[in-house]
Amino acid sequence: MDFEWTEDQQAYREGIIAFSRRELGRDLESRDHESSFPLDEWKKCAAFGLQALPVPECYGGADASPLTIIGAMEALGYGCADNGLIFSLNAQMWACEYPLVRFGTEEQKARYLPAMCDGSLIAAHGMSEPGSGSDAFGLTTTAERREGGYVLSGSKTFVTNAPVADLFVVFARTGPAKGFGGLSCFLLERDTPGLTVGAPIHKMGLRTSPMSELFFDGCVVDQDQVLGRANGGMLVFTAAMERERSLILASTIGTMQRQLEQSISYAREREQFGQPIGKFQAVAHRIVDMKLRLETARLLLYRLGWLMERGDDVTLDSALTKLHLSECFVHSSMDAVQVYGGYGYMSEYGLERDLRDAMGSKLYSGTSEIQRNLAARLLGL
Amino acid sequence: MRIEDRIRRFILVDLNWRGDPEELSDHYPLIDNDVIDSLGIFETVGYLEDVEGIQVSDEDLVPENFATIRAIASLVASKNGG
Repeated sequence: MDFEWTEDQQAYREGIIAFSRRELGRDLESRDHESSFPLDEWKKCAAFGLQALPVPECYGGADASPLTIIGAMEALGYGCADNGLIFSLNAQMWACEYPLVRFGTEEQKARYLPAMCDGSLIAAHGMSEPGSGSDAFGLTTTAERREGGYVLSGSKTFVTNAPVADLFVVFARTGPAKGFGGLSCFLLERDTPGLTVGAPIHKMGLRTSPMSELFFDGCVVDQDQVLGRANGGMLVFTAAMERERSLILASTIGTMQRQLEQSISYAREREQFGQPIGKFQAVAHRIVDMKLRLETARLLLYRLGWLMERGDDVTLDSALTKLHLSECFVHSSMDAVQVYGGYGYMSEYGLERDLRDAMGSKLYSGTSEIQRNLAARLLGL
Repeated sequence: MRIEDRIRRFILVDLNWRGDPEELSDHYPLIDNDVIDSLGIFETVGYLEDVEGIQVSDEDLVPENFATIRAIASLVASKNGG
């Protein structure tokens, strides 16, 4: 096995680290406090090519391979401390661009993908509803057939990017079958009559990534705004979620690497009782555990990328990877705060923000419990 | 063994359906009765590709093709030129 990046991949990673340190994460402490989305940095990311990673070249994309994307997002997580911005980028790429690439008509792709790549179009994905979260297919938003299209009624919640989005990828019930059987996916532009974007929802973490509810009240959608086949929404959703589950936490490898390096540096410099705190085994062992988590998480993720590049079925591997990375991210964020002691609890060091941001990773894109359920099922239990 | 019976056996053994096997007729609604859920549909696709030897495309993944054992059998037959 060869774990080395190619020269091109390594140069790209180094370029991302330099770019993100230079251009991203400005005024992060205050923007986090104010829950302010950095639109200017979003556009800089697009100019650098990040939103274009999973999109074919003919639509302005980079057509990057899964491992190249993993390497890029890891580098972004290392260089950029704004986990919220990275989360918004992930929402755009995996829950919006990817299903468009895979299921969109030529007209839909040509209309939306180039603008999604160049940063001029922000997209949001609406599946969860007040009464259906982990039970995603229990949604109740309906889309009634009408000549030439559909009329949507209902609502969505926890819609990442919604306050700033121009395009919404939403799911509604179009068929009589219960559960996943009668769902369709729709592309709604922000000015669609009957569509209302709710007030921003305030969160524990990832505050620079905006979120709100969506309301559909007699929302009329043309037939050509269906993404994928009518009643084929289940496939669109599951395909997007598998890709998201696989790649959404790649940046946390970079974040955990940064936390580890910071913690080692601090443990070597900070002295208590006449010696660096790193000489105390309680501190040293904690940092070793951070290193161990980082390396096991990285191996799982790289292997997953390798399987994806081979075209293997990664349903089980993506669930295990998402589960392990999210739990490692939370534990290592807590450890970093503990190593820094009281300073770790203070906002200016950014470690408490990482911890708040990390908590979301055990909830979004399927909770840890759902990932375990999925894995158990695939193990024949 | 008929294709319908092979699919029935797959549902009982591999999908581990806990309902009454007598109910599992060729026309028993599989989706409406939670015999096949969103993950089960992909397990079924895996079975159809690995055991029945057909290639299931994204276009085939609509509820109509998995609504009943007969519908799944028809999908297999259509892929085999039936």
